[in-house]
Amino acid sequence: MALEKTTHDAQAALALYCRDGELREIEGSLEDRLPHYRRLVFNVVKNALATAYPITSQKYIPEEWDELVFRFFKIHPCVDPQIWKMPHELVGYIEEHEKELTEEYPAVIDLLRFEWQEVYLFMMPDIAISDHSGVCPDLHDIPVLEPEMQMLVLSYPVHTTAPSKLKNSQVGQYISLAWRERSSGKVRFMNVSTFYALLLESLSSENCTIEEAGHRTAVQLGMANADGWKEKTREFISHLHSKGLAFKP
Amino acid sequence: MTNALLSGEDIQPDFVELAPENWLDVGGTWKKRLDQVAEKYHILCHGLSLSIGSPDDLDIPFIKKLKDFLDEYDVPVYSEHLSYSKCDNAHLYDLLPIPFRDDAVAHIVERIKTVQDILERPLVLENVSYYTPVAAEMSEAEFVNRIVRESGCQLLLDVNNVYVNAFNHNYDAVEFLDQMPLDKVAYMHMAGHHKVKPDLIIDTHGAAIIDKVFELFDYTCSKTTPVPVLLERDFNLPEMQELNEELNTLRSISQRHWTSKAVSHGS
Repeated sequence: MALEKTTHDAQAALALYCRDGELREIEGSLEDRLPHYRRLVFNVVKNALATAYPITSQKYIPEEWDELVFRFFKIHPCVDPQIWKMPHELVGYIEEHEKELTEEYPAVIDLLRFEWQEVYLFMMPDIAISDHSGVCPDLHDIPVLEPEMQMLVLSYPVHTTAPSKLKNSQVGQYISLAWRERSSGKVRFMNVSTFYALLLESLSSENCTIEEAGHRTAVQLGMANADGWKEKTREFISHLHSKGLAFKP
Repeated sequence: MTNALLSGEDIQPDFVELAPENWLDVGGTWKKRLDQVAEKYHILCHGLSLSIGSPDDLDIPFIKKLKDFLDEYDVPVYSEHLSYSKCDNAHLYDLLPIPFRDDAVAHIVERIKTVQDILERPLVLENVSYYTPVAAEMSEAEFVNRIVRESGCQLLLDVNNVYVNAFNHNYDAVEFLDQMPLDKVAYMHMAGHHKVKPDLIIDTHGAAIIDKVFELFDYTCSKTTPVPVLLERDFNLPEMQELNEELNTLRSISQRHWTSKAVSHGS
C-alpha cells in the first residue's frame, strides 16, 4: 500500500536531515531531540569509513576527513545494506565528486582502492582451490592457481610507499598482487612487474601451460631473449609456489 | 568476544545473537569463527537493514540472501526492528522512528507478510527506542498492537526500550507493558542505556542494566511465557565474568516466573 504524502514526507525529511544535518520542518517532531539521530547516524558511517580506511583517514587532519565524510554522506546515497561493504562506495564518490581533493593528492584513489582490496580479500566468501599435488609446477604444467588472489593496477606505488612520502611525480604503472593466506586468513601483498602481471593474467584466463603463457607474455612485451623470459618465469612461479599461490595439478 | 564464547570459561550463554548483515558473504577467518560458534551455540539473528518501515520498496534480493543464511545456520528466530533505516534509496545504517499512522500500519503489515513469505518463517519485530515521535496520529502502544495483530508477526519485547521510551516520552512503563500484545512475545532483549540529559536517555547498549529495568523485566516475566532472553552489550565491554553475572541475574528472575518451562539466555 502506498503511503500518504504526509507520512512519506515526514520520513523523507528525517532521513534527509540525518544525511545532511540541515534542520527542516518535520511534522510532529521534537526539534531538540532530532540532533541525536543525526549524530548517531553520522557516527556509524564515520566509524565504518575510518575502520575500512585507517591509512587514508590518517593522511588527512581530522577536520578534513570529517568534512569529506560529511560531503560523502550528504551527496551520495549509500546503496549497500551491509555496512561493512558500504565504504567501497567512497571510492566512486571521490572519483566523481571530489576533483579538488584528487588534484591536491592524486594518489588518494589508489590508496583507497588498495585499502579496500585488503578489506574485501579478508572478508570475501571462501573460494575452494582445485585439487593439486602440493608441489611446484614446471613450465609444461597448467598450474593450479590460488583463486583467492587479486591484482590491482595502480598509478602510484601506494603498496610500497608510505602515503606521506608519495610524490605526484611518481605517477606510472604499478601492480600489487594480494591474496588471502589460507593458513592464517591474513591478506598478503607483493609488488609484481608488468611481465609477471600479464603472465598471471594469461594463466588465469587461458587454460595454458606456464611456458605458453610465458611465451605469449614475452611476445606481447617484445622480449626477444627466450632464455631470459623462461628464467624469469621459473623464478616467479617458484616464488608463487612458496607463497601457496601456484601448484602442479 | 568470540574467544570467550568458544572457551566458555567465563561466560556461558545458552545462545548467541548476531546481525546477519555483518556475516553475509563473509569467508576467511570470520567465517571459520562463526562456524565454530555455531557448532557450540544456537544462533539467533537480529537484522539491521530490512527497513520494514521504509517508504522504499523491499530489497527482495537482500531478503533472499538473508533466507539462505538463516537456512544455512538453522536459525530458529529472525528478528528485526519496527523502524526504518533506508529512505529515497539511501541506507542510513541506524534506526529511525516510523510515524505512528494508519497508512504506515497498512504499509508495514503488507511488507511483513511479503518478508515472511520469502523467509518461510515468522518475522519477530522489536519495539525500538525513539527520541522523538514523527507525524504521529496514534500512540506507540496502539501502533505496535496493530502491526502485530494485523500482520501475524511476533514481538521482540525490548524491556530496556520500554523503560527508555517511557522516560523520554513521560508515560508509565508498566501501563505500557500491560497494553502490549504479550501473548505474541517470542523473544526479549535486555540492555543498558545512557542518560545524556535530565530528560533524555539514549539506548546505547554500552552499560550494565540498571535496577529499574531489571524490575520491569521481572514484571514482564510475570506476564509472559518462556522465551529466549538476550543480554545486549555492544561496547564498553566489561570482564566476561561481569557479563555472566548479568546473564545469571536474568536467568534467576525469569526462572522465578517460568519454572518448569524451558528458558534460554544469550549474548
